[in-house]
Amino acid sequence: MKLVSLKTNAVMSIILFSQLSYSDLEMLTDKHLGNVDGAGIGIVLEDFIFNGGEAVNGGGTFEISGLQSSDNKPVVLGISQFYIAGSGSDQGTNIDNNPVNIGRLTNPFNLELRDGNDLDVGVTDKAVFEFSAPTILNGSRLSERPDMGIRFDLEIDGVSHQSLENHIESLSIDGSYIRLWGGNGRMEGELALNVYTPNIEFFACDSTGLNCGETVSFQNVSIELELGQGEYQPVTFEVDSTGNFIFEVGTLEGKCASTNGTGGCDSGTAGYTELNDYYTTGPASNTYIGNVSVGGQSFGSTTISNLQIQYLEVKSHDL
Amino acid sequence: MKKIIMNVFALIYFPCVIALEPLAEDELKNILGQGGVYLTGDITINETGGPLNNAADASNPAVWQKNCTTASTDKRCGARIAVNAGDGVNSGWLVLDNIRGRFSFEGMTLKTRTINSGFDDDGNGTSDGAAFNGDVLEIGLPNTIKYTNVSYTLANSSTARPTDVGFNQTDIFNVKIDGDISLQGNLLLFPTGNP
Repeated sequence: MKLVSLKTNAVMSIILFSQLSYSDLEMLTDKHLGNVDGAGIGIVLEDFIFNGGEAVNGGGTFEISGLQSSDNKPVVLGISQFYIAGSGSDQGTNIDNNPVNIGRLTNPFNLELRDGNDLDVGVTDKAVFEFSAPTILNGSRLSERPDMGIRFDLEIDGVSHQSLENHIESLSIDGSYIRLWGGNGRMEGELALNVYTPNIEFFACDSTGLNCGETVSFQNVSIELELGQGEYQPVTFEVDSTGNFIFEVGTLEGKCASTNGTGGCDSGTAGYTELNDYYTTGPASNTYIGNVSVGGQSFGSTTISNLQIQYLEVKSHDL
Repeated sequence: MKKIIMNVFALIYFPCVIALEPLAEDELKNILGQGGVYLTGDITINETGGPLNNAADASNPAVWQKNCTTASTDKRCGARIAVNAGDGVNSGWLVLDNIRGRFSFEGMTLKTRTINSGFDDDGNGTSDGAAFNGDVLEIGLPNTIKYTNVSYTLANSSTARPTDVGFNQTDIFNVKIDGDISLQGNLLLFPTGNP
């Protein structure tokens, strides 16, 4: 009897354990992936410096061409310098040994797959790719905000004409993100771009980079741009069959079942609640410029708030 | 006798079944790897035109017929990447065309690093590194990247390939880089969130 039970044990064990190794490979659907949550890849640049151009690192050629002036002469932009470095770069002159940390270990840039059903994402039963900048809460400190700028020469028909410069101090893009997902057989997305800087400067110099003109500067700039809202108002970027690009922020037309005489949505009809939510809590863009000054003359401040983009189509055309 | 043999078999068999055990985090984290990797790279893409440029072989018609010689006024001989983000039927392609040139760098490093101190970015004595207390993958940037005659064109195109029917392309701009770019610092990658 003991023998029999041992035999049975052994056989049972073989059956039990071997069965564990059988399981089918199944397709992962969007719905399954949509439940993936919270785990992403943090990205931080430590002691970062970027510096390139025709006027640094022993020279070279850094050109953007293919543009034409109105009388069909070729225009070439020669980039003298493009830099990203730490605060106090002094318009690109203090770059060496002036690195910057972009992102923080405890508040990094983040790459992840979000669950589209999350309330703040709003793409039903789909996985959404998200790349986000550090959050505004506990946002980037002074030492985590890079200076960046570009100096380029304008060359028309082989003759160097003018040198233009643009410098941005202590830049932060906290709270910006881009989300992408597949919808209606194309790529759809949602975009938020925040730009905070104490100073943006533009000025022009002569072809040798000397004798610069008056500076146009924008001080204490906050730009908060929100485009699109989940699948309710997707943002798309496409190239049409003629080879021109189309950038579109989806229309709200047709979201309401019944409109009244003045074009508003009838209260209580289908789509009214969604539209009401869109107007009260939907994407809105704000811009604040503390002071605009031209050649030292102050022009005062500018504010644009709660701008809602309800439809936008940008299309390129051949000339 | 039979009984004993069967008993022995049964005993021998069982340990085999339970031999595979999951490795606990505690055990795995004590395993140390090598310090890292030091990389030197030199990549040349279509420096003297690509294989698709061969128009000489009549039995195997070249799919890319543009002229790649210096004298050519419509020079196209680099690699091409075409991406379609639209609905496929009526849409066109965003293209990186004419990609060619040489990139080289020395001293890119790849290693893992434990961060549990430093990163006192405010200078107020609070260490982000201590709060973080974890491992990161560190990609050490190579200080200088040398570009030799690197060029590419950003364009919109009606078809994926220039040989497709109805090919129509709008070049937006061309970029040419020949020189050194400083790229210093470390790129740190690490898991976030609570999986």
